[in-house]
Amino acid sequence: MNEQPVTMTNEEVLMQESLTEAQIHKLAKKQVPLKKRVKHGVVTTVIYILCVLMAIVCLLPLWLLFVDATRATTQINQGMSLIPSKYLVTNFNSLIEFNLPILQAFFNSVFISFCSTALSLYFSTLTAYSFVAYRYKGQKAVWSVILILMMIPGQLSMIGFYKLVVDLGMYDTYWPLIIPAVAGPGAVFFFKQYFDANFSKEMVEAARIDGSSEFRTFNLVVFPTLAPALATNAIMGVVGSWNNYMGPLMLISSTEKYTFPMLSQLLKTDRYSTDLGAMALAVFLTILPLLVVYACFSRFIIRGVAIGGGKE
Amino acid sequence: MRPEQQAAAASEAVREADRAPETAQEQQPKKKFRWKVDYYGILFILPFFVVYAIFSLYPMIYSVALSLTDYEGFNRVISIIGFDNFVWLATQPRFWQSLLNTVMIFCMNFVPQMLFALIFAAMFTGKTYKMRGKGAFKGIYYLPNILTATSVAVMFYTLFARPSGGLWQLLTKFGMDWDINLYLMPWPSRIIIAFIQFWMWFGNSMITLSAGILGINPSVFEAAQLDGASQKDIFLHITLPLIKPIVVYSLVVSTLGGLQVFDIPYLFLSGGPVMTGGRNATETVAVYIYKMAFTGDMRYNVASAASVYLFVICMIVSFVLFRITHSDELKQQKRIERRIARRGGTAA
Repeated sequence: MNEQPVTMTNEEVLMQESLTEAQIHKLAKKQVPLKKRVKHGVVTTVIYILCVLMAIVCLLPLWLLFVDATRATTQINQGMSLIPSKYLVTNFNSLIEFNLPILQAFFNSVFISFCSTALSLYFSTLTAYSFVAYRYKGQKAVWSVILILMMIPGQLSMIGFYKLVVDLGMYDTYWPLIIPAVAGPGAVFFFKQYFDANFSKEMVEAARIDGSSEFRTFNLVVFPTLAPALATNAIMGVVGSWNNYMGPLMLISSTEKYTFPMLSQLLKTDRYSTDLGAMALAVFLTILPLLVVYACFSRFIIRGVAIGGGKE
Repeated sequence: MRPEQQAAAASEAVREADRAPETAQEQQPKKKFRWKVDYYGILFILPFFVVYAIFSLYPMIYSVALSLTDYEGFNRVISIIGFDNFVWLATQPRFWQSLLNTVMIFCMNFVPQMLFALIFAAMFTGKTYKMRGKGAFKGIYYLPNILTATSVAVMFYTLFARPSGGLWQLLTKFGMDWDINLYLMPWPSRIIIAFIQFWMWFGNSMITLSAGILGINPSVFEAAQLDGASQKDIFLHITLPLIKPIVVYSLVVSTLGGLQVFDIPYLFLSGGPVMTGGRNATETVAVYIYKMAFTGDMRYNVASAASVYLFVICMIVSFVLFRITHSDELKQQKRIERRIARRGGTAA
């Protein structure tokens, strides 16, 4: 049964070159005395318990919200519950009666986040590309400038930005929420890092020999090769733009132009806040698109965070 | 629109690319890679800097300029009054309180967040205790980070609200019958906001740190294990020092983010509860700036001055933090160089 005699010493086992990991594991298990194995089991159990506890902490508020969305206001007032009730449809109907511009706000947010992300992706990659494909005097200084721009707090430009938008007649339009995406130092940094690891001079050279212009080389040869990085950054960009609250709060005034996150602001007003069930449902609905997106793309998002484009 | 144009140009270019090979054959032989197409390098960064200049740089200068004026509300005649706004702000207990609140909320959130993130990252990357379902756990931990702050605020508000919130339910179940409203008390409100921040950012820190640990050369761990180092020793003396740069990176980014935190404090209690002397218990600097500029008397000048203060603080903090890490790196490099020199000496 035993491929390796149990009496082998550590050194002897390690002398053997072609051990698979599974074999090593098996061997290690056999050499470890019972006491240690028990300890191992206990520690593993503790780790799992900790992980599950933390997962509960992360998910419980969401679950409670969902449960509240299925309960009547009187039930909610009596206290929380972990078991869903059966008033989901009722709540939904009263939500429709409220005439909240949910769909409108949803499409507004979709429009803004897609436009701004598309702009951000194209121009950030273009800017990052210029740092790996070309050389000019003062390039290093330009790069340090971009790094410094990442450090500047957004609040500094906030008041001036508001004034500028009003002066340009862009107040209560989507332009000020979309166009600034062209100049995102964070995204440029992200793509520069990607280029540093993956840029192929040969490809660009080949395209040039084939007589492709510089713009076309970028658009058709370089841009498509960025697909993995684009996917990661696009999803994070969409989520970030979707969740942007301060910008719309400052710049959008008419209700039909409200973005999705601004809906809960409407919910706080007295007209709605008496029907707690419908309100919980509305809040849950504002989270739902993100949950769906996350379920599909969590891999990309987590990879993006791991690469280090995570924090805003 | 631009994307359509792009698509049109793309299809046209593809058509031309089909014709390209024949002409390419007769082109000159392989030349050395040309770095010097300088003109394009500058052209390509132009959109970035033009847009940045208009929508960020100009507003910044505008803000700084406004901070030197008496521009309030709807007054149309603006005059420059020098540094009066800055002086006035420095005498305002409410402003100082907002700074203090920002720091307190940040510390209460960041310290436990890093601690938990380290513990979980160590568990997730540990070699002796194999875990299953790491991906699922990571996915769950990161989930709160992508949720909209507005929804998160409403969600937690109902959770801690009295008397129907979950917390009170639990307390009454255990026989406690406190008749207090947490939202009227400074410290509990701050702690709840710090907890929400923790809840939202724990997954992010954990993933960043595990990525850092996974980035360490595995042979380092193997060598340590062969030398008989315990799991605890490996973590304390190998993993921790090696991921220090990432911890510091997180510290810098989180500090900058923490100084600017707006969404949750604004949405949760909009800065309240009010304390004595017009101070607010959970009002952060960003909330203070927003309230000054866009509510009440619309004191754009004061808000701008506060944002200049915030900018200066951010710059000092990031400069100091980077300085510390940089000098550390230099020290370490020198140490390594010395060690190599010594070893080279003995070998020879």
